[in-house]
Amino acid sequence: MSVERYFLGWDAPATTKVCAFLLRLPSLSSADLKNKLIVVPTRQAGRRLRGALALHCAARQTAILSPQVVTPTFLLHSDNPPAHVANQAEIRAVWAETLLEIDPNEYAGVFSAYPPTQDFAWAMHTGNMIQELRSRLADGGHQIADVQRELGSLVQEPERWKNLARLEGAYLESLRELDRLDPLELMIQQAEKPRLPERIETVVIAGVPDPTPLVLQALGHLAEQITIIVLVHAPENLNDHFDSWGRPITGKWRKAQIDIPDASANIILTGSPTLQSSKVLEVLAAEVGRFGPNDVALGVPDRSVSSFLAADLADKGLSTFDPAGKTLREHPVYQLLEAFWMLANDSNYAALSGFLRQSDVLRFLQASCNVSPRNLLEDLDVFRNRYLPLALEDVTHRLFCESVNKTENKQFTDLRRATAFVQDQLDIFENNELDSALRSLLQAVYKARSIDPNDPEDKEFIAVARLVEGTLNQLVDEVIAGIGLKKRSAFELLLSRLGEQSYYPERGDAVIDLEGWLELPWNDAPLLIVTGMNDGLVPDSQPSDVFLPDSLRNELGLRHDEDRLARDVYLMTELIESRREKGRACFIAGKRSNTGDPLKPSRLFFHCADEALPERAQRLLTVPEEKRASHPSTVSFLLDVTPPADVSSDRMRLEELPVSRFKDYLQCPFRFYLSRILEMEEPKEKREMDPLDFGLLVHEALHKMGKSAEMRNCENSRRLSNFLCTQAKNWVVKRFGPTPPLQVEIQLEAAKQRLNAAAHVQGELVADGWEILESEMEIEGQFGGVAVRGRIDRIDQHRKTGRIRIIDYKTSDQSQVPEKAHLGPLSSVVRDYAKVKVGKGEKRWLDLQLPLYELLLPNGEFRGGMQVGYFNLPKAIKDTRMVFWDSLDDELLQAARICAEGVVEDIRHHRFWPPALKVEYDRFASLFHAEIGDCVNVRAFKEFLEKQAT
Amino acid sequence: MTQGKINHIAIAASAGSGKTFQLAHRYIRLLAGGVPPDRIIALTFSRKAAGEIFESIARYLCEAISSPEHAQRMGRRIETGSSQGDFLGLLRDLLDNSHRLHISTLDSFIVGIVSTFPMELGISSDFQVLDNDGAEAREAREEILRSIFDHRHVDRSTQREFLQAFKQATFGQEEKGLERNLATIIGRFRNCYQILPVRDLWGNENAIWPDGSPWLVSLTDVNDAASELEISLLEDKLSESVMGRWHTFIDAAAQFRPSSPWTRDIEYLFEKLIHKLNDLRKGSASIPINRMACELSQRQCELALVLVSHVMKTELNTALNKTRGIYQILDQYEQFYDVMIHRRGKLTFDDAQYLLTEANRYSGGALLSRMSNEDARLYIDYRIDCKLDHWLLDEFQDTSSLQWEVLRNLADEILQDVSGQRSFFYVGDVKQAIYGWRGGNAQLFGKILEQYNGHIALKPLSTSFRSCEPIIDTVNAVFGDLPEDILPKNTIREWKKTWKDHRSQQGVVPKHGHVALLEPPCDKEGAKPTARDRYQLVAHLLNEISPLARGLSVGILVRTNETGKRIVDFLRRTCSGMNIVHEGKATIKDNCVVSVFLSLLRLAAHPGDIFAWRHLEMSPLCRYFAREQLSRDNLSLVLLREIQTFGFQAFIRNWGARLQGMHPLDDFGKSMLRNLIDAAGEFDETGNRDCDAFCRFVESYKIDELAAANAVRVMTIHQSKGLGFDIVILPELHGRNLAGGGKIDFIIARSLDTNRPLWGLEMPRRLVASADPVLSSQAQAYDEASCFDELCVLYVALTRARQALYMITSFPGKTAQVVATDAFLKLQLVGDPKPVDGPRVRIDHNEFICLYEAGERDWYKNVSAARKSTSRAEQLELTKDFCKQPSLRRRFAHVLPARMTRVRQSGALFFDRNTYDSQDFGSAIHKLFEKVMWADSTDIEVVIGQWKRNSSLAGDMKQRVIKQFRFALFCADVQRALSRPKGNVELWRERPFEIIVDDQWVSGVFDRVTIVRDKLDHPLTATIVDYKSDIVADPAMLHNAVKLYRPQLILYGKALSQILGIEPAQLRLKLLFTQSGKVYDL
Ligand code: SF4
Repeated sequence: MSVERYFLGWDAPATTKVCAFLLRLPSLSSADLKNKLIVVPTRQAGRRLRGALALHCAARQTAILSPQVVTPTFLLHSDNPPAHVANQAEIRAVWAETLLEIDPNEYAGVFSAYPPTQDFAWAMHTGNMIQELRSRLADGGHQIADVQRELGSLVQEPERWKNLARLEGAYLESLRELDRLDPLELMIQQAEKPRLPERIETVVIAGVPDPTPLVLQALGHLAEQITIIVLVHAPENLNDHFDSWGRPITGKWRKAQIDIPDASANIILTGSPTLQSSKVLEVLAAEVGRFGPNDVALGVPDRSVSSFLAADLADKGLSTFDPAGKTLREHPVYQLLEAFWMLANDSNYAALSGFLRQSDVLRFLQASCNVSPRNLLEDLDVFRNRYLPLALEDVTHRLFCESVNKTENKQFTDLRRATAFVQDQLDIFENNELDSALRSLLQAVYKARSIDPNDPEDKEFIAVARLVEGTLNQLVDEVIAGIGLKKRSAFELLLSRLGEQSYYPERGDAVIDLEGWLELPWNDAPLLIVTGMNDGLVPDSQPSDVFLPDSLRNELGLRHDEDRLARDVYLMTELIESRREKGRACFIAGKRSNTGDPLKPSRLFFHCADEALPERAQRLLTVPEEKRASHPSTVSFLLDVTPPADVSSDRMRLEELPVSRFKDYLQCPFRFYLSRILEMEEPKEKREMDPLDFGLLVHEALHKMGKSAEMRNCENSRRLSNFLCTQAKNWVVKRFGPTPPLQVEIQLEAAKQRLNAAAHVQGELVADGWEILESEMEIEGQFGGVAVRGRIDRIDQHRKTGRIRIIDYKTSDQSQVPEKAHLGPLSSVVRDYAKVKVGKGEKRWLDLQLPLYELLLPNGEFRGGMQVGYFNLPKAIKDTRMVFWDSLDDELLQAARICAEGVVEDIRHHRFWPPALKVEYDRFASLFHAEIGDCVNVRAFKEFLEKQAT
Repeated sequence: MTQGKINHIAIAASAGSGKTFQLAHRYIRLLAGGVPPDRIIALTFSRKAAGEIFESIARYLCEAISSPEHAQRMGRRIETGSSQGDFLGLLRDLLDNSHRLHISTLDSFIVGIVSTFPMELGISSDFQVLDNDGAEAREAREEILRSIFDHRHVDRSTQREFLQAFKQATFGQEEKGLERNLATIIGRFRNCYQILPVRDLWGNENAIWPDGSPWLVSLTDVNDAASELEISLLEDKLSESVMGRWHTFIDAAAQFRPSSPWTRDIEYLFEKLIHKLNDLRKGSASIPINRMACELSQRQCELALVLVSHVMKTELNTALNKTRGIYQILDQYEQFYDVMIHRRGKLTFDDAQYLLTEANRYSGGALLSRMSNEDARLYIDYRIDCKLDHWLLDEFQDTSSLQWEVLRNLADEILQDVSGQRSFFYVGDVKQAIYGWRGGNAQLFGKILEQYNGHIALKPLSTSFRSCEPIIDTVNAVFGDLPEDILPKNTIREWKKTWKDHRSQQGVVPKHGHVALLEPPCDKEGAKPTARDRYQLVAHLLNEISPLARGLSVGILVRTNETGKRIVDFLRRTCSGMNIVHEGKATIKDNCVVSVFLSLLRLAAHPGDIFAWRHLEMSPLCRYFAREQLSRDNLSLVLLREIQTFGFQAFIRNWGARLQGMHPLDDFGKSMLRNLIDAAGEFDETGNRDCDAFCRFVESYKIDELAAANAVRVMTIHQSKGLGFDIVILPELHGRNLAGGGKIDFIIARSLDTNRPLWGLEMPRRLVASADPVLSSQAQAYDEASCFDELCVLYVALTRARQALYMITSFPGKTAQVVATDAFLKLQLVGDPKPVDGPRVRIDHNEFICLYEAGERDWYKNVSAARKSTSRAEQLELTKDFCKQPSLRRRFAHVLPARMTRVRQSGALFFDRNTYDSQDFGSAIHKLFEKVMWADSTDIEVVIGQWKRNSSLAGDMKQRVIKQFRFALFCADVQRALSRPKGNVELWRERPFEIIVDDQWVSGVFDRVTIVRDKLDHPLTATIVDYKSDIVADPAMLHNAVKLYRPQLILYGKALSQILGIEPAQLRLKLLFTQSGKVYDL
């Protein structure tokens, strides 16, 4: 029939203009648009148009029978698609299958440098890439084969295109065999003979600036059957700037000037995305009184600005809405599925804890299995640190296998219950079809959750569940079965499909939409602020591309850079013109991306008159970047270190003190308080034995030697070594099972080397007449009325002389010298009892371990000259030897006793302040970022201590 | 403007001589010659510099446009006669093509190339680029190790090999911790592996000593030699102390094993013997022991040589072995790493580079090319859609060997081109090569000149446009004539190659200026000054000059960030009121706000973490917990839920607000919170919701700490590169020993002529290396290079200053041996490396030693505050009132009635097929009913047949739908409701509508409306029928259903009455229940 083109003028936004036009159409009986098909550029534009129509009618006290509002691709999809069009899951599966079967060597044009590992993930991903290429070609009505056929001689890499065409052929062939249609092929066919819903009498193309060539083709055919009205949001006098379909003509707009009113105020340059967001607030602040919250339109072509904007505006009480929706990846249901996929794919321990840390799983376990989330999470950490499990099976083996240590069954109750659930779900997964297995998981987890369809969060849940359901359904299709997709691959495919989909939270009472560039013309708010006006975003461009470089896009008639530029020049003009009278359009460009990459201002800014260009370039390119003010560091709040309610008052009462604690107190009374009274232990995440475990392993082996009647007097170092190594191995097997993880094996190897060296030393000792008297001997005594306890690693006696040696094993990397470990240089704040005269000078006690051992030994039991020292087993095994503290005489011993009594006295009187200024290794460094005294509430703490003391 | 032949040029640009100026003008010259901007590629190293190149091109063009004189001047500079208008055209062209420009960092250029060849390189097209040393890259590395440890992925025999390799690589050190050691090995040596990925060249005796090593030969029995030597020496009746020395040495040497520690027992005599090696070999040596000469006979020499050889052989073999072990570890690691890169699509910038180098074992050496006809090359012109004809490389001295590997081929193609229409231009300053430690290979600058001898014109620039005369004089004094007795000769030779005396451009540089070499005096007891004393001197200088008040910029340049932080702390305390800022990459974790959040996050995942819990209890959040009844028992679940539902950014923001609610934060606290929120935003983009991963991310997250205007800026010398300051203060001048002798990690020897790597070895200790000719020459080369590096660092530091330069050193003590940088400075400027005292100066009422001085001491007195930066206008702050402001427009909530009012249900139902079945069922029934015009005149079998063909429902569901449809239409109620009334009737089916009622915008759909009109077509009455497929088995259910749907229908009625313009009373509303076949009249 015909194509009629109307120029609406641009003295008001597109929505207003189009709406007014539609309601003025002569054929209208009341507000009845039911026979119209309105084509708008985006979904959001459609929504705005319908809203505007409703509003217009409301002004006349009526309602409207809505027209059908669609986006351009609607014209390419048949109203009633044949049932056997392949769905997205099928397409992906078929591609993967195709790629898994080829021999990449036959496709050297595509996979030249690096032979791919043909696994499912690769195949799926590569398939996606090619399908994506096909879909972009389809916009122009092409398939890969066409490119190769028609442009074969022109394209630069003919071999590559030939290969790609062959791959495409193989894919289409597979689809055909499965009796499925390729939707892209179908779409291209559809454009040849487009069909409209029955009742449609008129098609209105409302301000669509860049329909694809394929859509135009369809429109061309439609125009033969039906009236098509093309609405152009521009004044009549620019009619030579648009083609008959209302598209801005590239040649006319490419170089057109954009007249930005008051450019100095309405072009704003700033730094990072968060600064862009701050600028928006400043612009709003300047407009208070002129515009209200409903009058604001915000454009965010750069998505990285939107989260900052949303948050900053929320701070000011303005809620925002992102019409682009959220990706499913952000939703807990997806995360749950992903966590389960990790488990099903490789049930390692990280996957297990990842799954159990899903809050939905925790909630379910709490409600249905009587599991305490706290206990379960603690169990997970304790279990890992103790057994270094690799996988789920290590957990189930230990917790469920009767033959293994029973005590664990009591200890890890919550972990056991949770693992039972996990194991059940994995069994279900193994024994059922993917869809029923996953449904079973989801139903189990969400059974107890009551969904309120009026609650926004639950509404999202419903939307997401629907998507999951739909995608699951696609996967049970017979096609998938026909391909013989493995369950895990299907699961992977499911996740990849889900991850691409979006859901749309309800707008609720959101005031301001955060819209993309192409949505903006349809927003009729008078105050428009567009952020992210940077090159590459407005206009977007991709000069280099894996398959379709700009020049090739141009040759193929696909949308290319020049077209985009022209379109955006037009769009920006449109945005400005529609607000020239009654509004304001303001554009913000950033200089830096979130990650610090420099950004250039949009080229559109430079579409100005020649005279203005240098000045504008100067301003936008050479203005120094704005920086956020940096503040000198301060302590923003003091920590209250008085014992919290959950520290029992018993802990403050000192009844006994292990020998090892003296060192802590001597080092720093305050840190002693933190670690011993408040029990603040550094968190650990072990992936191998830590030094403590390693020490334990070595100590245990040596202890076994000391206890063995045969070994304690053995002088054959080979046998000793064998014995010790066997003990070490046994210890490891007992703790980590018969096949310990590799890292433990390497550590065991190191321990054996050290023990082997120790065996040599031991052999010589025995040969020299030394005999082990005691191993791991418990000792106890009183200091200042407090029981002091310790355990001596070992006591040796010489057969002939009767001399006694008190020995402590040291497994630190470097050899230790007892004297150096116990006595250190004096520093300014040492209490008197800790000072000690040594030779001519004065030193301070760092540790009291060895002297206390000697002091605590039961009187009379051990006679003869006594020696105390270390048995060093350092990493340089050549240094394995005993080192004694020969200068430890009675005088020093007495000084040690005085010191010990002083420490006990101080601890009993809660003298935990002041802290030492410097300690060798400060495990509390992460708490205090200045002097401790400046970081804690000293007054409160002192008051507390004083109260305690009285 | 026509394009003549364009030369290849290398510019050796000394500091301040206008490197960027040169580059920008080259660019403009090319543009003026008619080269399209997208054919020019300009690469540099930092993102900031890349931005600056583009901006300065634009700036120079703007300048040229500003007046005919400027245009002329520019025309002269670029050797074309262009007018203002011409330059305007160029500016336009540049800006119009800004999206196609290739002005970027080398890194991002390489990543860009990689991203256009994903299939060829076997990587995922949406690969993610990680920072080389960011948290994610580190985690990826750890993950690789973990997977090697996992026997479910790696078979036991491979694991054993790995275990062996580890033992070999850490020989003699029975390490108890594994992960850290492995990480260290990989961190230290991976780079070497990438340069030299050939197993046979690691720790290979034959590669290192092609003619055989004098030490690796078979020896006579060592023990025999030892006892013979001992006996023979005893016969010499040496003094007891000398004999004692011999005894311990002989003992230790005879027992020396591969795992033996290197003790003083060995070292003392070993060193002496090594020094007399030639004499020993000659058979007569005099060894000084305890200040006495000990003469050795021929036999004794032979025997001593056996012992020395034994130690040497053992040490060399150990080194060779360890090197092979290290290779083995790296090789295995690399195999896993390769899989990760390719399969998981995570690449660091270095990886991207490595993918494109010939050395890469795994990519098979993909080489870039511009020639489409080259075999097995990645042809880039087409992929990046332009021909890169003109190359401009900035800071060329910092290019690494690997980076050059990537570019070499492309550059060669340009340099070999004879058309004159392509060009190569590079600019750099070998004297500023301070990035050797991260792979920068300054030698490339000269190597390329040599290789293309005559094709590339070298243009040295040594006129400073930055520094005033006294500074330039000082620089010349320091670097013009290097002391041959202290620095390695080759270093001096290399330096001389690049050195030309500097001069300053009068009229451009400041007129007045000052240079001083200052020292804090020793205290009364003669104790050496400490670092604090030097910082104090800095404080006095600042107080004396008051630079900020005079509008002078100040840079305090140090060697490490740690010193920087310490100085900032010190100065903030001592110079109150002065804004002192530490600049550079700063972590955000060291403050109470972020650390409390880290504890909160840790507790979320690990309620057992008592450290974190107590920390929270100490913080203001404790009160929030009490108020909200949150305890350690229930906190984790609450936190995890928030994180998983809303992401980390929202989580931090919410909890930030809660924290502020308990304790308002100061500005610093707020800015830290903001940083954390930014970090969370970045992390959220990965989609990861793992608390531990996020904590690690935050811990290594770094922000650019940028100085606000008008601040004293403290930064490392490395960071100061490319910057200039009015005043530069250097309080940390000591550094490495310029004479060498430091520890050497690993040596990769390169061929002298081709520069190709030849072999690699973890170097044995210096003493051992010095006894071997091959190794000692490598060690010497290493020393020379590191001395050169050190000179470069000093050069960069001194040349940052425009007007004043204060070098602060301190007396090193009388016994100081080492010739560090500060001693070198003193030697050059004062003539004595360790002057004890010097003339005094008063600075800020305190006395200091001034060892050297040039220029005017009170240069700054005439500087007024005129240069003070203009303060910005007050910023408007948006208040919360804004949301209550009246608006011009109205806004309506959007309601979709079809989705209104549904009841609570168990979450499980949403994953139940049946739930959706009933929905599908409902819409299918709707579809069928929609086809019915009038019950009395429609052939329902035709309707059914049509529907059946097009529906994609499963077979049995189809049957059920059809069954119900047939049944319903059979019912009398339904028949009646769907039959044609009399008169002028219009029927609507499935009609969407929009209406605004009660300030709500409602979008609904009429299932069926029958309108009876009068003769004039005015509507008289209308009936709405709404189909419901609910199950209504009994009257109670019916009642409920009606109650549920009544509001919806009433709303529909309102809409229809407005659309048709008739009174509500003329409307009838009906609910048609398809399952029961009943129709309910409302
Ligand atoms: S000393 Fe000899 S006999 Fe005694 S235990 Fe050792 S090896 Fe056996």
